[in-house]
Amino acid sequence: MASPQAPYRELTPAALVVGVVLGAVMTAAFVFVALKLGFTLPGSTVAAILGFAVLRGMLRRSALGFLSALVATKDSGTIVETNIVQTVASGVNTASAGVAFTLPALFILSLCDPELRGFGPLPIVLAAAGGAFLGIVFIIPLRKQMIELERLRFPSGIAVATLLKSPGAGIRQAKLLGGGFAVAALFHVLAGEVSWIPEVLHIPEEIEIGVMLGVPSYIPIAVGVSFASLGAGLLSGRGGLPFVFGGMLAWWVISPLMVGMGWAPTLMDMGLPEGTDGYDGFIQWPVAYSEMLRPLGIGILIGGALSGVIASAPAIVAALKSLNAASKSGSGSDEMSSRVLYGGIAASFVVLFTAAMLAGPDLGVGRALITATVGTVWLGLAGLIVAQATGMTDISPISGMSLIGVTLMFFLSGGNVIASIILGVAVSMGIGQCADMMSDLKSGHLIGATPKRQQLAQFAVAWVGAPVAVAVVYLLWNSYDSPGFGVAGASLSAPQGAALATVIDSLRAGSSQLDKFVAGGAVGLGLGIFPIGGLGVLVGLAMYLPFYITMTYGVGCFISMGLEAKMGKRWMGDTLVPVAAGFIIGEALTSLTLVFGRLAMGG
Amino acid sequence: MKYAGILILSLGVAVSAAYGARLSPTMRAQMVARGRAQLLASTADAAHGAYCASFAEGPRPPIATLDGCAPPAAEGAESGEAASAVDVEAVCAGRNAPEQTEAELARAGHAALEPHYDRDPSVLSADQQRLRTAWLAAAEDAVDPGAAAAVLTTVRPQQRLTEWLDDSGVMFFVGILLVIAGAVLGRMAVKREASAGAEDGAAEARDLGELLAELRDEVATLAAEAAAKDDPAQADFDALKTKVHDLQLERFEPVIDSAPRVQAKYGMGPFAEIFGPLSSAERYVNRAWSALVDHHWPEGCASLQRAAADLKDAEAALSAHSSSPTPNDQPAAEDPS
Repeated sequence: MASPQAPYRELTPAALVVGVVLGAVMTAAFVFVALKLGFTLPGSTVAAILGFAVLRGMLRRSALGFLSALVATKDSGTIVETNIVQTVASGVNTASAGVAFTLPALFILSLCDPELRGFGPLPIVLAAAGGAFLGIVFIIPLRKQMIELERLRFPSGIAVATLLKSPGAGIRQAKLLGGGFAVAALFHVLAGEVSWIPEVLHIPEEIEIGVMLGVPSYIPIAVGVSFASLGAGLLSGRGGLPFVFGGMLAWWVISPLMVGMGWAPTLMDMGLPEGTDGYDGFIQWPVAYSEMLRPLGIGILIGGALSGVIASAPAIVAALKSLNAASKSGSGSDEMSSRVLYGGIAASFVVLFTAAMLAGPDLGVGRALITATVGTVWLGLAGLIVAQATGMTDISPISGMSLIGVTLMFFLSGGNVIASIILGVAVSMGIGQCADMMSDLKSGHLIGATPKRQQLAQFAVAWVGAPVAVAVVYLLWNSYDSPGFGVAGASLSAPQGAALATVIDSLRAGSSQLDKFVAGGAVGLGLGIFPIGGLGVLVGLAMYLPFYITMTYGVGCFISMGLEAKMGKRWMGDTLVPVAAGFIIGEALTSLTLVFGRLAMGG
Repeated sequence: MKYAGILILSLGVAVSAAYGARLSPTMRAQMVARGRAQLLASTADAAHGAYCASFAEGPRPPIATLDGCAPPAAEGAESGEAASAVDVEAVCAGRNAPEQTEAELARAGHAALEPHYDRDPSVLSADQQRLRTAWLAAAEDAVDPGAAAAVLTTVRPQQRLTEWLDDSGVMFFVGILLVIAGAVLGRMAVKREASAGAEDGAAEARDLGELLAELRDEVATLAAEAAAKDDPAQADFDALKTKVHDLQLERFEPVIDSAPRVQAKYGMGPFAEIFGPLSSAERYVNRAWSALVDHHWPEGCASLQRAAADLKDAEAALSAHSSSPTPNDQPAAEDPS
């Protein structure tokens, strides 16, 4: 318990040290996981659980000896201080996805192309750190808009806040949180094909109801066995309906329409007999998803975000005024000063420009300047898209936005692969940072943290993840029987890096889905006129994702609406929120355990 | 009007997204070629799988291995599960291979199947021979379409765009017009609702003003009660925490629920000026709760005082905007204070 005389602990050396250590460990581990499996784990949720255990548990009880004496006191581990730990740790850890999904492409491409081997770690680390700072800077004026005015849900942010508040929330809420956790963990283990569980108990990750009923797979009627998605839907309620509508439109209207109208290749076109196996799957994935809906969805996301910026301009101006007022009032304000915003953008831009020059000395100053400028602007827009999508659905289209970023950099740099991937790392880091920071600020709002202190903490340590993640990628590339990832026979498959390498190969061949991006952009801009904030982003995101994810989330939304109508708002806050938070936390922690368990057993 | 707007918007999104997603003629032709190659290759793979599966039980003659049916123990290694040295030359040979014509690729594909025909299948059972023949036939069928798909030329972005516009542009733009019409109708409906509310504008402003004033009074009272206690006992912490929790769940919600109406009535800028301090007050109430859980009474008191001050700022902003003309040019609302 805190002494009444002592200031209330929030931004402390203990929180920073514990957060940085946890974040660095998570970054190294999650980069490995990303190269091995192609995905990372939810950073904020895991960081909150670990931070909670370390700061409120071990350090408070002096279990860690000298470290405890160095950084902590018996007052350590207040709710807002633990929130700083998770803010810092997850902020450091954004580097794992930012680097592991982009940089490996450069290593893979360089294997067979000696001209691409002339890159060193310095510009990569500089670009990654510059991108991370830009991500935090861009989020400063958007905090008021997204959290205080639009009141976006950020389901993982709510889950983290619920966990942080659990010591004071009472036995009933703790039981509900624990119950949600247990249910999610149980189903995630059963769907995870764990070897020591009898096969008869295994359940599929995706339940294809439509296929059971004989409906073609290009009209998917399926739900994913994911209590995290269900929990996100429960916490979003009515606000998530446009997302579900977008998924239904994509897969229940457009997909059958294109088959019915003969827009998709038919078996007769292909000269194959009726009933040829695999036709429905070919129409669903390579045609409908990869060539039509996904690129269209990315375009709608971008158009929707652009119109959102225009519609929200007065509120963003009001937020900037508030930041200017904070500059004048000095250290007494809860808001970060506008000087930090403008200075941060300028400094990060200089870092990006330097990275561009170092990465491609043959670019020339003019082209490097244009590339860094467009990179900065794209990072801001993509960060907004990812933060909005995360806020409304808990799903972030980082890979799609990074892909567009790399494509832009590729064309602007005149086809310079090294410069485009290195600046792509910056974009990927930055947009990841935007989503993470905003989710952390949502948690902070719910527990009463001071936004400025959270932002200062993240500023102080955002660069740490960059060298850690880059070092791990270098280490793994040169380990085992080098090359260590991304090519046939390598120990690690690096699926995201290999996919990006394929995209860059096709860009070098002159291919781009420009028609779909343009069409989607126009639809997104049109949707922005309708008086529902973020409509374009939600519809675009639904087209960008496989339908079973959208469906599970939608089931959560409908259950939430029904429960709210029947039980009232108080019940929702007291009962549904801890259960849904338990779902999200349970799946995150079980994923972490299963992944590391499998890796430890050489799986 | 609102529902008409939603209906037209939905129709517009369906039309524009469907025609927006439609492939250009060249892309469609390429997908036909790729689909034929992929489905025939899958058929050949399935036939090969069925042939190999026939060796799962019983003897495995050398011809099975020569036909690419690896023994079960080697399957893991084949799929790359076991770490093995990367053959960089082999990896790069595929990537850096000189460009071949369709005829060259087809010739190479058929030639690769030749050795299988040279082997004597008589050691196999009749069923296995039938499966083997089916596999080789399927593999032969897949060679030419595979070669055709491999040499498809890249469709340039400009070509994709112009072809798509020529083919689907008219219907796409009809869809976009419907989207805009539906969205504009939706905006008009929302404004009309706000105007209808503004006919009783003074009452609505007073409602929000009264809610804010009541909320501010409650928070200020709690802050004053808390500040009066010098040495709070555990029961005091618990009691105050419960009151703060009630405030969070029951008192803030009705005020926050009014956000869409306030936004529609006053516009985005004034809405931000009213709801900015209101949200700040909510955050300070949340901070008070956290401080009480952490047994930090002074922070709890200070946070409640700050929340009351922020609520006063929100009231002042509402008052300023409700006494000036709204964007809908409705009669000015009364000063809620």
